[in-house]
Amino acid sequence: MSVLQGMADMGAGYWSPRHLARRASVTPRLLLGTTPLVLLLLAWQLLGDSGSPYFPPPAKWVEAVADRIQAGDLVPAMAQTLASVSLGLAVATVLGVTLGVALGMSRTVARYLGSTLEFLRTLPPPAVVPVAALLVGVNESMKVFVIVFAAFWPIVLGTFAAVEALHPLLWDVSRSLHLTSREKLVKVTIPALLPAILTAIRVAAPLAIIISLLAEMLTSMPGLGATLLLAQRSFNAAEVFGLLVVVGLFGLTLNAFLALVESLLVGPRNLETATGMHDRSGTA
Amino acid sequence: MSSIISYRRLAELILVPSTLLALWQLAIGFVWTDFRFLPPPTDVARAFLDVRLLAEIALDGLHTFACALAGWTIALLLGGAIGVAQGRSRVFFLFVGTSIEVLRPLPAVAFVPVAVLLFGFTIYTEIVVIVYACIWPVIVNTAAGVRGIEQRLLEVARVMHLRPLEKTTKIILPAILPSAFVGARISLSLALVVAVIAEMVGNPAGLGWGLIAAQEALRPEIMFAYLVSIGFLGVFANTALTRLVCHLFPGMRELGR
Repeated sequence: MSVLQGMADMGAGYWSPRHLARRASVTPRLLLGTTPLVLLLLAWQLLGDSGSPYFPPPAKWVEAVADRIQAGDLVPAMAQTLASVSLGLAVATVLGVTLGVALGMSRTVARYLGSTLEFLRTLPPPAVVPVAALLVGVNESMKVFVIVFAAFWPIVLGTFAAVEALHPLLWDVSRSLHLTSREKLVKVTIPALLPAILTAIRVAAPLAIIISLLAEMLTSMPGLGATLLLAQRSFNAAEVFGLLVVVGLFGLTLNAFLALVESLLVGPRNLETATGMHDRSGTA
Repeated sequence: MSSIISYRRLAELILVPSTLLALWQLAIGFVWTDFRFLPPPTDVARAFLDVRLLAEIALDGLHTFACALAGWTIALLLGGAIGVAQGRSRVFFLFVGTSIEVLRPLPAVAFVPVAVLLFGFTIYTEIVVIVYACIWPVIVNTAAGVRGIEQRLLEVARVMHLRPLEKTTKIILPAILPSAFVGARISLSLALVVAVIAEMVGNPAGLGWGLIAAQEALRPEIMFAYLVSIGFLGVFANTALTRLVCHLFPGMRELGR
């Protein structure tokens, strides 16, 4: 089944009456579930002191964020962060999948590189940010480098595990069908590994955002992190809270987008396991 | 696992790292001579021989470790309680679960400025941020553990007329231990990472701050010494936790690997 065919099927299923009914039952539950949060914010708005320097009510947050957008620096900052994160994720995917496949295919590679990779993996990516800033200098390529360093590991491990778990029958089949190595790659290996790789990218995305924000905070390079830190330094509490919400929405949107791509490419069937894996991963 | 490592295994372990280190050393000497902020490995090793620096790193490490441990403990107690409540009660799950799902993806780094605003550049900021980051894996894994309890165990509790407290300590807690341990381990490594982050942007103390101070003082060899120490602290904490759990609960050896 080609990808396009899959998308078409997916589309048909998505609008089917049964699916619509299920979605309708899910939505009110979700809305009901957010009531404590909504009530808290409402109480904050109604009972809070609008002049409070520490706990400004939510309406002030909206005002502050609107001011930032009006001033014309929030949207470019967000675009900058998005650009760095996307580029970092793309590079990490290419490198990570390559290394993951190499590790999974060859025992020798895995044994010789194992100790080096284990050590590098224990280095917390945030600690690498100042080192990279000093070595590479404060510029865009340094930011992308540290994002790649953080996002690389889940993708390597995810791909490696997926290659290990591939059914040997797949290779037998491609041998009986006399597939060329190119055909084998395109028709067998990539489709078999795709769900795991997409899941790994989804696990890596929050890490990429975190490191991007941290790099922006530490070096004052333009981006959401720098905007947030600037608001804190000028003791603008309303803006800090507002930007926190913006960052949260930013992360949610990216995750939703990746989930959509995943469900379009591999179908909703595999999404269940993907979410489970996401829950287990500890992301700061 | 045998205690004697074969020569072949030893070669596999050290060949690539030592080649890389040697290349790094040689490259500094001959190729990257104008790369003044990249110290050769020998300089980093020499930095570790300086007793004063070593004492400083040890003290900073102690601070980071203590903060991480404090935040982690609070997150375990708080998150464990919320997780058990979530797993036991449908209503609680419905009303709190979604709010948690909304708050959980907020990156801890973005939370640091808020904490600084409320608590200043203090140790409280650091601990609050650590708790915030560590609590989610604990909640998620504990709740999953509670939902996965064998129905028969709960029936046993009913048959024996256990009071709620007894039921919790004698049935529920032992049953959720394995999955709670998974959450605890994830959040311990998170705690150390987030402690370093909070020290970089929030509380000026500990290993994270030492790293930034070395960067600002343009002392790359000290910075690398801190970087290596942070890596080892993480490995140490994870190993210590696994050993401790294996020691306390011999039935869980399987998880230690």
